[in-house]
Amino acid sequence: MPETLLHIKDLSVRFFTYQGVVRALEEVNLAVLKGEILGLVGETGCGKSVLARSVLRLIADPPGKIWRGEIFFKGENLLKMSSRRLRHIRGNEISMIFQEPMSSLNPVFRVGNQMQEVVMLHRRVGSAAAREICIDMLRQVKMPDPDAVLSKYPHELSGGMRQRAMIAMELSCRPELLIADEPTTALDVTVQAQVLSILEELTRKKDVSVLFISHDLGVIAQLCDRVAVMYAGRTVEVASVWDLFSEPRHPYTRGLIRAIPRVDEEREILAVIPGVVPGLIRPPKGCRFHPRCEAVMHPCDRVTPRLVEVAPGHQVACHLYKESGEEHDADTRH
Amino acid sequence: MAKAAFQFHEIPDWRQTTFHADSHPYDRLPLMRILTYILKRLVYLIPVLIGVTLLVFVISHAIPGDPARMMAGQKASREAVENLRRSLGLDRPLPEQYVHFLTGLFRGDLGTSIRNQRPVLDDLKDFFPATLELTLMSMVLCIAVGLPLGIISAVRRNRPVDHISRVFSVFGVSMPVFWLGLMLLLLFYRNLGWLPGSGRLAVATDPPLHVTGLYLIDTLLEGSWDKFGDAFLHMILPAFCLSYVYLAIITRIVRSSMISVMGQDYITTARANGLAESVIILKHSLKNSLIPTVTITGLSIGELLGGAILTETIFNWPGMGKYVVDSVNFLDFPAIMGFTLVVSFVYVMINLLVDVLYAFLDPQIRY
Amino acid sequence: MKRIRKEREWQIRELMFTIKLLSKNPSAVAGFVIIATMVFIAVGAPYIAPYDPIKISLRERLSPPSPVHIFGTDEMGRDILSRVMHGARISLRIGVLVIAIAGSLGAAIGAVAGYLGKQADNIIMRIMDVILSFPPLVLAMALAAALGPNLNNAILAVAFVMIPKFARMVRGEALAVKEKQFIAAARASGAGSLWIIFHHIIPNCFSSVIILATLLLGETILIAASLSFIGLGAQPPTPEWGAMISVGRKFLMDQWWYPTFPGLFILMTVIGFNILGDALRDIFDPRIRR
Repeated sequence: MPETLLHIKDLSVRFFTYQGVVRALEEVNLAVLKGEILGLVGETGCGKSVLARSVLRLIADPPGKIWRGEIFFKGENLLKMSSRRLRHIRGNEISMIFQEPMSSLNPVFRVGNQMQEVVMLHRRVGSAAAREICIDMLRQVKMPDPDAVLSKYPHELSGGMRQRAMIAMELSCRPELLIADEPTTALDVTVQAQVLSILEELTRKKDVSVLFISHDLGVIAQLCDRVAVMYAGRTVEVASVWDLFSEPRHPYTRGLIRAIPRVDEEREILAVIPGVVPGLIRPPKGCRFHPRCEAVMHPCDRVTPRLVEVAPGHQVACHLYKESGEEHDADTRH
Repeated sequence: MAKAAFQFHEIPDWRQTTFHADSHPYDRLPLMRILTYILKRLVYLIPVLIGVTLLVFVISHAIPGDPARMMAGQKASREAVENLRRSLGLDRPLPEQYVHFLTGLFRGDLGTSIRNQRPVLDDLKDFFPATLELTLMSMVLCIAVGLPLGIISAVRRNRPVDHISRVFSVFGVSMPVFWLGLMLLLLFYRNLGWLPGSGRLAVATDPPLHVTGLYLIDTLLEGSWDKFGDAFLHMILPAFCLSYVYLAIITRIVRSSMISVMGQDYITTARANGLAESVIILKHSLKNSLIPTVTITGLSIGELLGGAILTETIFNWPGMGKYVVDSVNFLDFPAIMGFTLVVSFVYVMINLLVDVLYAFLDPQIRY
Repeated sequence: MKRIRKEREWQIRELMFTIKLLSKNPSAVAGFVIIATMVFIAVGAPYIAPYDPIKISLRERLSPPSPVHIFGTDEMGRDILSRVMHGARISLRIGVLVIAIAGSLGAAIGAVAGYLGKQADNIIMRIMDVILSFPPLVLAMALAAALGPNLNNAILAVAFVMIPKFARMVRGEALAVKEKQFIAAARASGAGSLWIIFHHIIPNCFSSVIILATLLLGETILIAASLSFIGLGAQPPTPEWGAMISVGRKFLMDQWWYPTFPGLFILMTVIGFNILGDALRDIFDPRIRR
């Protein structure tokens, strides 16, 4: 039984804006196991990025505040540790890559300068040794002519190359956990494939656990061992990738999977989930999905469902299910 | 759920081809690229400089009234005026006069002052060091105070320090420089008696041996410590007065560009990599904020030359500014036009310098 | 016809929205209050000033501030408060005239340059660059000296200096608007260039022009006062603020009130315009207008 590397417990994050308090995350529970690639999937605005940034305490305060909860990493609570200890962990034991390679690197410094800075900080080596490490990492991400890349500025590299450089930089200090916030969303599909393949190869080889965030179910299916589905600031389903796609339990997950057009199926109308994602200043009471749910029933609009285990390794937050798999009788509305 | 097997191969990306080290001979020498950039900027500037001379020429020759009479002075006889007109070539057609004017400029001839019958150029050369010293000191003050204040304001946004500096900025931008000088004199010279009220040195003191013309340096070179102290004390109020407006502007620019930079993704990356906050501010953010800051600072130097006019008058500082104000009172047009020409040339050159500096700071500009 | 009416309705609604946003912004309100006060003083000066600004009373010369003369008197015994109030008239008049001239000319030049593009744009903007190559006060000084030291010439001189600032801004906006669809539509239906420039391009730049005008009003008043201070604008005994400071300078040491109050009013007025201009700029920022 692999051990838990990262344990997010009852995390709530709020943003205080002129229009009101945005409850971006509400009592989120999630665990990343050692050696696995955990996917985090959900629509834009469901809180995946907020969750990712909360781990390393990168939420801008103001206007955001980590309201409640704990995040345990190898036994320590990341939310309560000193800034000095946190800085030791950032980039070193937990690394993060972001969505926009265009803007994630400082445009006025050379790529080599930025990479070496991180390596020299965490691995405590001189600049010559750091340079060697960077070149080696660039080779591992299959970057042509690593020597030249180090003296380039970010704008001189293409998007795919920038993202690969980011991966190289973030893995250079041998972290145990890598948080990847939609790393390929901003890239062309062809480049996307290359980057994903490199990511998978390297993390498996180095035994790095990955929290992989995406809104693309196809990518998730390809890459991840387990998947967590988020909706409107809450986790609604967690399962192995096989179980999730073959037996989705939560109505939202079902809707998502149904909405994927398949090559081998004949369908006339694109299946959609009716309604829109709710605003998070005054979210729906009870289960946040209930206004759009096809299986909505009595307690859904009043009681928030908690994540319960309905099968080994498969958790759902839905009133349809009791612990260990029984389905309630659903009086569906229509 | 078969994993799609993608062949790993590089899609030829046209942008990749530019970075092979020997693709373009110029890439071996980044100096070449910078030089071509400077050359391009110079070529753009030449028409502007010509335009400047043309404008000054038009102003000075479109003066309603008779330029020859004005040069000769109100009391000269008609004959003397006609002689002057002929000798100055003022009876020739305008374009010819302009060419004559331009060639004169190349020779360094800016005309002759009516007041003291000396070449304007010599007058300006005499008064230039005083203005230079004042302007340099003000610039130093602007940067030494404005930069840290702007950074602190940005980092401690919306806290008390920020509010104070923003109020200070508004006052700075709205301040009539000549009035500020008077108020400073009132407070520090008349009421408190801490600082002297006029000139560069105490009355009846001999200036130091002329090496640079900058008293602060010359007194040190000479070893006269008390003169240095005296010169320094005389410098304080005028420098502060002159710098006040631009200090406010620079603080504002630094603050707003730092705020905008610190909201960027690459700063989040740096933070996520565990870099210390001081490094993030002073290395990663600052260099990006410098670009607009340098631009405004450069432009400010030009404006300082303009503001020096008022400050030098208030504090009786014997520089070019005071010279031109005295010339205005005398309606000494050659002097006024000569000053205007010189100042605008300097302004244009400083802008060129700023552009070049830009290229060094922002790697995306070099082409 | 109906289309024009709908356009007017939309414009009025935009205006109401802007005013509502402004009233919620504390600095906008502060700036507006200051300016409104100055305007009130300026307009009302002949009626509410306690004394005649040019009435000489040598008995009372150089008397300090007192209940009789709140700001004291000058070297001719004239009441400084009354003179300062009349000075507001003059300064505001200068500001409005300068901005009106520079704004309309500059906007027209910029719109033409931006719309015509390429060569015409190049030439026009180079000319503007030439004017911008001078520090504003220096150029205004040279012009005012050449034209002759009086108030109207000073107005022309400062207006000349301000024109390129408007031209540059409107040209930028014109370049952007030019690409929009409705311009092509207008041209397709046969509208002439001049008509397009005046009916489509300029109205779209309106808000930016207003912001720039407000900010430059402050700078104008400063430059005009500086010119008078040097001796090139309003001439004594005109109660213009800069001119008063120029004369009052001689009396600084023993009659501090003389140059102090006019300068204070310059400061306040310019602050008012700058604060209001800044607030306007923030409000019109597209990120804030939802």
